[in-house]
Amino acid sequence: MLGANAVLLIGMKTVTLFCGVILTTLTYRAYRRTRAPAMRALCLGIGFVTLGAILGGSLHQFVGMPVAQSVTVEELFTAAGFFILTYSVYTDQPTTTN
Amino acid sequence: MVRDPFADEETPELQTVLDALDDEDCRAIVSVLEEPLTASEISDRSGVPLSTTYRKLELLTESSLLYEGVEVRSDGQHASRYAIDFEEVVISLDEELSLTVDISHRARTPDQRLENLWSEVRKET
Repeated sequence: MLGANAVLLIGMKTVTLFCGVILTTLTYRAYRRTRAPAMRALCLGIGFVTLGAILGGSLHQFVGMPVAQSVTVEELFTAAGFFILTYSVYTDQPTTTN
Repeated sequence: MVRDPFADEETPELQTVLDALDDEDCRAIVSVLEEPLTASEISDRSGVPLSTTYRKLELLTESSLLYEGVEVRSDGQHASRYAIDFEEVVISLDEELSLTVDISHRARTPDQRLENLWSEVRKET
């Protein structure tokens, strides 16, 4: 029997993964269309955050990593993802043709 | 050279760009835009009559050579300020031997870039 907290956690994780996968897919398609470095960075950033969310839970559940460590891995990916996202709006794009 | 690949508008028509560049008033307007200015300020500084200035500004924004930003003043009046939005205009010959125009835009601010990126993502939905 799952506790209310566990149910809530599963629900939130599901929403996070679902939205993360949708956004990663959309930004990837936009990158394929525009070929813009900034869009690639946006896609990678959202991808990393989503991947971190997947890994955080999976490592603990399926590999038996302690919760603290799996959360650290998740945070690593989240930090990297947000760094790339920030980079994507500040970076100067090289010349491309439309 | 920096380029913003996310121009809000489609690449302008070659003829529109050539019309703008071939126009003395348009060139006079561009030459006074060291900073974003309103139409009446542009008219004052360039000596181009106000009614003509409005017409030329329309041509220049349509050519995506100028960027029109709306500024809301404290009295609730909207006044557009116009700023230069290009670094170079490249006219090249494509495979079908017709001329194409490509305008390299000035880099925009990070918040404008994010807005542009996001509008590109929204096109995929």
